Parts: sequence; C-alpha cells; structure tokens
Amino acid sequence: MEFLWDGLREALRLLVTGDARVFHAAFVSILCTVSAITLAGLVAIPYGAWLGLHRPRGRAGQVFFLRVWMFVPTVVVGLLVYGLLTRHGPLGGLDLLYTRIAIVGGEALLAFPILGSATYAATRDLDPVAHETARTLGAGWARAMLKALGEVRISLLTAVLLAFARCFSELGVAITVGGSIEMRTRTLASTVVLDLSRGRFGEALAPGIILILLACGITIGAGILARESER
Amino acid sequence: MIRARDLVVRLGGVTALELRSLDIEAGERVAICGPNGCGKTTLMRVLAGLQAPTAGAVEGLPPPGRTVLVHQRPYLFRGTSRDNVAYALRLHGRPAGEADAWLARLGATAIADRRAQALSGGERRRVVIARALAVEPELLLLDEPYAALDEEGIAAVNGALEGFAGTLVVAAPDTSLARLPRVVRLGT
Repeated sequence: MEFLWDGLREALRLLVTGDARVFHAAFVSILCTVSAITLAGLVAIPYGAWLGLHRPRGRAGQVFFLRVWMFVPTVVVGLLVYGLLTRHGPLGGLDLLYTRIAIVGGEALLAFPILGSATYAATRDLDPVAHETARTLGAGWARAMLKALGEVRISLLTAVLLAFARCFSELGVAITVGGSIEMRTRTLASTVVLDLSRGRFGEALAPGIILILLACGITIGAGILARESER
Repeated sequence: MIRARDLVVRLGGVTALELRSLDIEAGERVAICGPNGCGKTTLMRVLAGLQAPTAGAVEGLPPPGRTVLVHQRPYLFRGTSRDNVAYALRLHGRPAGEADAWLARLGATAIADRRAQALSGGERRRVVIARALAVEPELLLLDEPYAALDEEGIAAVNGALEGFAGTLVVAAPDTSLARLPRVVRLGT
C-alpha cells in the first residue's frame, strides 16, 4: 500500500511543480489528437455524409470496410504508416518518420473510420426530406449537406468524442512512428509505458492522472456543448 | 413555358408516373389532382429536379435554386419557425430580418419563436409555406399543402398564395380547396 501512496505522492509532486517532461507530453498528445481529428474529419465527415445522403452503389462494401478498419489494432496502423514513411518506403524521402506529423497521420487513420461510419449512420437515419428541402430552397449539394449535418450534430459530437478517445490514449502509432522521443514526440500514453518499464511508478502515474483529468474535462465540455446545441 | 412529354418514372420496378403531355405557362396556376398512387408526388419531384424520369423529358424548368418544392411530409430544420424562414432567406442573400414578415403573411406570427419540433401539423405547414414563399421562386410546387390545416389555415395559405407572382403547381386529391383556374387530372 505504501508503494501506491509513494507513487501517488510523486505523481502529484510532478503535477504541482509543473514537470516540463510530463506537461510537454500532454501538449504533444493534445496537439496530435486535435490535428489528427481535424484532418480525418475534413475527409471522413463529408465522405460519410455522401454515403448516407446520396446512397451510392457499393456503399454496403464501403461501410463494411470502414467498420472493419475501426477494429484494426493501433499498432497495425502504426506498422502501416511506418512502412510508408521508413527510408525504404514510398514516402521515405519526406523524412517524416519519428515526427509529430507522422503521429498525426497515423492517428488520422485511426479517427477516419470512426468519423466516417458514424456520419454515415447519422445521415442515413435522417429524414431524406431534410437534405432535399435544403436543396430545393436553393442550397448547393455541399451547403445542403452541411445543413443535414447540423441536424445530426449530437451524433457527430459523439463520433468526435469516440475518435478523440481512440487517438488520445493510443500507443501503437505514437511509439511505432513517433518513436517516443522525449520533449519531441512523446505522448502521455507512451510516457506511462516508458516510465513503468523503467520501474518509475510515480512518474508513470502523473501522465496517467493528466489523461484521466483531460478525459473528464473533454467529456464535461462535450456534454455542455450538446446541451447548448439542443436548446 | 414548362413542357413535359411522354414522362415515365419507374421506381423499384413499379411505374410511379405516366404522363403523355403537360404544358404550364409562366405565371400559370395549376392544380394536379388524382387518386392516391396516381403519381402526383412523383410528378412534383420530377418538376423540382429531385427525380430523373426513366423516359421522356421536361423542358423549360427554371434554373436550380429558382424552384421550390414543399413536400407532402414537410421537414422543418432544428431551431424556431423564424430560424427556418431566415435560413431560406440567407440562402438567397436576403436579410434574415424579413422572416417575420413572411410568417405574418401565413398568420404564423404567434409561433415565430416556437421550436419547430413543438409545432402541430397545421402550424408546421404554415411555416414551410412561408419559408418557400420567402425565397420568391419562379416555380412553386406544393404537394398536398392543405393536409392538417383547419379552415383558418386554408384561408391563410390561399391568401398568401394570391400574392405569389410565379408559376404555381399544387398537387392535392381534392382541388376544390386550392381554387386554381386550371386542373390537370392524373390517372384517368
């Protein structure tokens, strides 16, 4: 029990003194996750809306692919990105391996199927007259799609939260293509694993506490946002 | 002038519409009537550009954005009645502040601040027609606009439509409510 208390005391000390290592990892985690979700969302949300509203031929196969992709382990996605970015890979010349950009790319691949399939499900269930109404009132296809997405914004918010959770706490991409380089590409989750592997329980606990606190904050924020948009 | 010739629409292997010929002059007011399943709604969707005909063609339709269809089962977006009309106005670069005037024409001033989801069937109908008129389209298509309306609502809709200067096509099983000068019967 004393071991746990000592660990907690050390973790709190690191948090209260503003340990640069821990807070930099938090910064990298937030930056990479927000960038990845933004990047994925720019493509996945219109794509999911197109599948749900336009209902093109072959959408069942595409939706199946998205759903399977959601279950792919993060380390496999990391491996795929590693294969692309390694010196001998097709994008090796860009020299992006072990950078935050590589993490963002990998995490975007994790977020993409969640955002795409959730947007598809939400727009498929929306009354088709909603999109047609916007179209017939004079909106172009894209503007009408934005209006339709506004109608299902709570579902979209939930999808963004799920994508955030998947990216924020993932390890596979962060370690495989980020390299967990201290003060550069180390995220909160990879800090936990590295410190624990070195037997530094207290130092591993500090980023864990930040992860939990940020998760609470984001959930509360999303709840407030959902309530406000329901008004 | 809108000219439809040899229109056929098949949906899921079923013939939803067969229409040999239909001409509608600019500014004309036409009622389309016929029994359930005769293709009134399908014709309205074709005229609105939302349904491509399987065979035949329609010529002379206004450019996109100048035709408004009010669906048989109308949809109101999230927000208030005023928000709905304001959205349509904004799409055409017009001030959202005009929304109240359009709602007033339909006798819907009292429900301007009510959330769309809280409106009754008749109230919804008034708001969607106000929203459609606010766009001032060249061609206005109303699919069963009198459904769920009481006498006062019917009078309000007809009053508002009297001031509409574009081409008007109303689909209804009973055309007596619309009091339009020309009636086209489908399915006969």
